[in-house]
Amino acid sequence: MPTTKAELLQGTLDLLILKTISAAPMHGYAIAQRIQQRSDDVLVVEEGSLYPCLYRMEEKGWIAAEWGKSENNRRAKYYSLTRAGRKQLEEETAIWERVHRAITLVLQTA
Amino acid sequence: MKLMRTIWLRIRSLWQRREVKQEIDEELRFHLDQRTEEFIAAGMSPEDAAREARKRFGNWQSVREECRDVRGASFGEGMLRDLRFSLRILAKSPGFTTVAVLMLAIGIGSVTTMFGVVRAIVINPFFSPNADRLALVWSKEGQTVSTLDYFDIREQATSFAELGAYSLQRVNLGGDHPESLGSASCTPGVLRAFGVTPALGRWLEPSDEQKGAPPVAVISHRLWQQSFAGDPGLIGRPIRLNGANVTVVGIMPADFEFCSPWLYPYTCEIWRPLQLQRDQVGRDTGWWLVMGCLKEGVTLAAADAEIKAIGARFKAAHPNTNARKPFLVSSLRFEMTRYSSSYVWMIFGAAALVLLVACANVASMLLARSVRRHGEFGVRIALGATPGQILRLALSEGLLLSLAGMIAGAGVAVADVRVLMFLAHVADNRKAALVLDGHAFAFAAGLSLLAGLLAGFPPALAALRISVADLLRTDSRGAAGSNTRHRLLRGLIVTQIAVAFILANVAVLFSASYAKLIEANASLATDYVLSAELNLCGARYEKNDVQTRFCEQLAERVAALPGVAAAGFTSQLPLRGGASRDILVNDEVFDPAAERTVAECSEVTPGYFAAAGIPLLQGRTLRAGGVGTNVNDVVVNRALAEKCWPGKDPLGKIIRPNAAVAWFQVRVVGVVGNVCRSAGEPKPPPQMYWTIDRAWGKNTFLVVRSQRPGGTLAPVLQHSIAELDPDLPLSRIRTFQTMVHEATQDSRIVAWLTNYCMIVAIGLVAIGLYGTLSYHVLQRTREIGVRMALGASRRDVVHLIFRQGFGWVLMGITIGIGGALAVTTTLRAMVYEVNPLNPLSLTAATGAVALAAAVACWLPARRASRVDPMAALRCE
Repeated sequence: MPTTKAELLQGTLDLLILKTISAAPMHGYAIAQRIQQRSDDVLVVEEGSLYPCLYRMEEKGWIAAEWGKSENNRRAKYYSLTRAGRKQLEEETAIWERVHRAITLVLQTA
Repeated sequence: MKLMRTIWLRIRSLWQRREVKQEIDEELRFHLDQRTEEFIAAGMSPEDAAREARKRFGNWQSVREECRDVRGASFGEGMLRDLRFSLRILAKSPGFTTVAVLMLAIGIGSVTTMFGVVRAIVINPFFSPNADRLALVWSKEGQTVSTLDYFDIREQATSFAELGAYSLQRVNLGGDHPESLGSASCTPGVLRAFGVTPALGRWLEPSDEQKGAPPVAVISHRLWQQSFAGDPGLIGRPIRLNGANVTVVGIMPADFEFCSPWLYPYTCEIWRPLQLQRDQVGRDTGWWLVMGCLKEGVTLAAADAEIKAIGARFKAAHPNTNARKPFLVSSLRFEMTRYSSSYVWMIFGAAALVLLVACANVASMLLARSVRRHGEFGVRIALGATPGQILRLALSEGLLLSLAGMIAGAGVAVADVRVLMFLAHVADNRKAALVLDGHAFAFAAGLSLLAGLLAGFPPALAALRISVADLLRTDSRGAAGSNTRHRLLRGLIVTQIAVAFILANVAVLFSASYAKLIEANASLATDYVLSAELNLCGARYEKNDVQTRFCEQLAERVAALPGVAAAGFTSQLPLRGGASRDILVNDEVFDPAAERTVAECSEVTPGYFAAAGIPLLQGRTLRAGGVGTNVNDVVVNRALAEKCWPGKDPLGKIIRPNAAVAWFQVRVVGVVGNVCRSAGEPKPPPQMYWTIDRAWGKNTFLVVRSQRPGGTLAPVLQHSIAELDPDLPLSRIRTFQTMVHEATQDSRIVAWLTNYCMIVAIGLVAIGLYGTLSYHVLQRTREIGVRMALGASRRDVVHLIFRQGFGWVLMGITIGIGGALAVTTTLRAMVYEVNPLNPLSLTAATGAVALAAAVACWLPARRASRVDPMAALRCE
């Protein structure tokens, strides 16, 4: 099925990643897969921008990284949400919903 | 928490760069492999799957680079790249690079040299395992301890692990070449306190102190090597000291430094046992230096308090003698550095200021050059360079220059140290300590890093303020960032001028102080007077009258030599302190608690006054032996006459000792001029001169005034003495000129060094001003062209440029005056007879700086006046 490579804004990628790992720690590949799955294949993460984004978020202290064993017994880096990250997630979700509501309002007016 | 995490990640990126890079690669590879497997599971062939996965991933290399950048793991490579680039740029302009490196080299080298000096002379003035715990006990400030007091302290004090008494003398070493050496008679505790083990043989022991024990001595390593050729069989063999055979029982290790107050400029080469008698002595007898090693954990303050308490007990028990002896303890390190440390630190500060000027100079040169690289920085920013990267690039130039400066500076420092050792009278062990070792080089490295950052910072700051939009304008002269650049340049040149002004002021002060010192001692400094030291030791001169007769005989013989105008003996030379006594005059009575006049006592033969050139002001001098001699004559100096009998005629007055029993009573027969006790003394002390038979020491000085410059007399003098006693060496033969020269040496060195700092600083300022003004003229070329087109003459343009330059100079001097006033008030104690706040020195400093500035402004001003208005207007 053809996927549309929607241009994701940098900020939105942060939000998506934070939400994805809020449930459980995952490695980078799983995060990309999960985002694609949950969005019904609409949002396809640019893999080239995924890892720099993950590193930046780690620098900012929103996520923490730890080496562990993957499902097929290979070494992989697992990312989990920190307390600061949880707060960031809440803030960004609130911002996104406000923006979303605003745009919907504008589109509704005929 | 977040900051800690970031710092930890950065540190990890620096120290474990390879691991961090490998981890990044591993993580990305894992992702790629998972993607490949997914494609294989979907039915692709392995090669196709791999290729698709790669394609989907995007540009593998750039992702890797970006990840590394975020982590900071590419900092090292980026830095190296920047350094290589800066190196190429610097190599393209060798003239600028050479000048900048030279400036930094001089600055870094000077400060490193002073660091070595501070370490060798102030922080660790001597080497000993117990250096921190060596302390001296005094009965009063600068006063020795008596025998009975010493024994009592030894029994009662608990703060000292080792305690001993000693006194310093000169001894005559016999042999093929008799020489006069410094020696200490000490109890065993003194040597043990120093905590070193003998290189050969043993120390002095309590058994050597007993009456009747065979005479032994311990000698220094240097003496062993020089006079006995390092013969290990010397232990147990006798040497001839003061005409008697003394067995050598020990040899000190090579790095042993026996330090003591009052030892300079001699060194101690021989240690002999001190035989102190406890009985049959008065409480006040004995003049011993007491040195000891504090116990572990006992502070100096605690020891001082204990000794003071013991002193108070003495005072209560023996009020007659101990009433004015509060007792105190001072550390040996303090005693050895108390006079020199402030000067050394001051010169260190001056050298640091010179380095500051050099850094500011290099910074302004870099700043002016960065105009040309304006476009390059703009392009970098446009291509996405972060401020951090720009900063790194701009700083790397400064760091490279300072690295080269450090290497060249090491050479400068080595040369500086050589020059210093040549100029200053420094003991051999201190010379060894002054060598620049690993610590000094580490200091130089740290210093050059700091200097590089300082020098590179202003251009970096200017580079950061560049805005890309402004760059696209073709008019690059008026480009953005030039405001910052102008302000920075102005700030830098004004700072340099202010600092140079402060240094000039300090140098003028110390030069004036030295000039005053020379002037005050000018009457003494003559080539026509010779002095030599004689040590009348040994059994032959045991008796006092033998000693007296010998001196009188020798004085007559020497006075009779052709070419000699006068000759005399004295127990202490001018400009060297010696013995002093408390005296009673007029109706004063002995009161142990009262402060009395302290007079310096010299025992002289009558010819001394004429020989030394001390003028007779009133009465007569002492008469020679024979009929009519009255041994109760005394000659006083003007200071004593004015102190004790102000306004009255001193002739005929009686002087008595400040003791319960008046064991002498002398009558004043004459008044002579004043002679200082040390070169820098503001007021000469009261002095009295009496006949030589009162001399109790073995050391005496022959003073000879000749009709020709004194140097030629030395062999003749030796001959005369050899006729009377062939074993007696005549040592330290020098003219009074040399004597004054040596006494004023410290002041002279300080003046030289501060002048050196001033000259270097002013030279740097001149170069900096020239450079800044040239850049300024370049910036204003168009304006100058317009002015000239509108009718300004060449002279007007020159005035314009001079005004600009001198505006900076004025600003710098104004700021500098405040700094100079602050600095020189703290220097008040260090200058001789010169008021630090006098306007003459400020004027002289201003003059020096202004002169240099005028010379520096001249060329740019001339160049500005040569501007062709049409070319200037056209060349944008």
